[in-house]
Amino acid sequence: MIYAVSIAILVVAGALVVVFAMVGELAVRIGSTKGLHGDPGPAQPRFDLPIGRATDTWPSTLAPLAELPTSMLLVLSTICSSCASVASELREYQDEQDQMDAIGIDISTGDVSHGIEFVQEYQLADLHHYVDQMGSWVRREFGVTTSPTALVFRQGVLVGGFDFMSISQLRATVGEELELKW
Amino acid sequence: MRLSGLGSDLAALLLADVLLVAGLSKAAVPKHAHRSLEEITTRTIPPGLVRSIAGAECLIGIGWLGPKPLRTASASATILLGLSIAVLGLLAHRRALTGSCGCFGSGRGKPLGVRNATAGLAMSVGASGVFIAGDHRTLEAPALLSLSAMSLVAIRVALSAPTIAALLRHSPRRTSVSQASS
Repeated sequence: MIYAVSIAILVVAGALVVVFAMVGELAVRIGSTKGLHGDPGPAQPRFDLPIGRATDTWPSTLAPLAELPTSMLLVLSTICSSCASVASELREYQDEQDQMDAIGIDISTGDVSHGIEFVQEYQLADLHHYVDQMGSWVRREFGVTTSPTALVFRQGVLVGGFDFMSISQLRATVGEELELKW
Repeated sequence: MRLSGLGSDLAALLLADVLLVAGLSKAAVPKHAHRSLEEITTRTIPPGLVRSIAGAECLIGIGWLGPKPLRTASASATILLGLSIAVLGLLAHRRALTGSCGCFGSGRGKPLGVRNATAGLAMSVGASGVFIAGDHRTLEAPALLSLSAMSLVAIRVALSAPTIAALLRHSPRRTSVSQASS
């Protein structure tokens, strides 16, 4: 009898573990657990980035960003579900082409074909984008190791960076202050 | 003898619970680990493989709670599993992945890397220790199962703590761009 009770307790504990794992996944799919309260809160500034750094090794597809007074590079990974929801959200803004000229996307991926699929799946081809194998360029040049991350540039010089979970959250936090046309 | 018996029980309990939490969580939410594996191997991984690995982790974990022959088999399997995790962690570190590792089913964790390699090695060393020192069990099976159930839930709650905290938190602090740029 006591064996049966012990095994039953263990099974219930296992079920709880599964429920907790699923709640965590639900929070990720929503985009941000803060969003459950109706307010996504601000994008969080990053203090570990090399502020003031400029590079002359921009990939040709992202190079136009370095010429602009203010631009933003979004670092997304093909294996990150939050990045997928950000990429999906970007589609909503693509009709405002002139407003998206200052936005670029660095797609970090282990396999270039996955990066190309990501661009196709989320229809990002019209935006400045670069498929960054293993995230090596953005890691080497700007020390970015996590995604999604937003990097802000003034004439190619890194002036800030943020952890963010959605485009609307990012716009609310930095759009006006950076004088981006969003 | 009593101390080594207690040590043996604690080691078995810890290894069982870590493996059970990892296995159950990955079985519930396999997609992050799946994409992480694809990034490391740069190959297409069959969708069911992660759940198979998760099932194996659960079986090995349960084996640690069983009678001596099962514990011995689990110790051998844990050594192999730990070494495999260590190799994957080192491989991922060399390739500088940026997406979540999918550990414990989470889509928000850090990328696979040195931490995972260290954890894998620690798991192997712990299992080797029990294997070499011999199995001196002091706790009866029902007690071991009940303790395991409690610590199983405790470990999962600890892993989910950031999500739970975010769910309970009200308006987060708002930070301006100038702070990020300074």
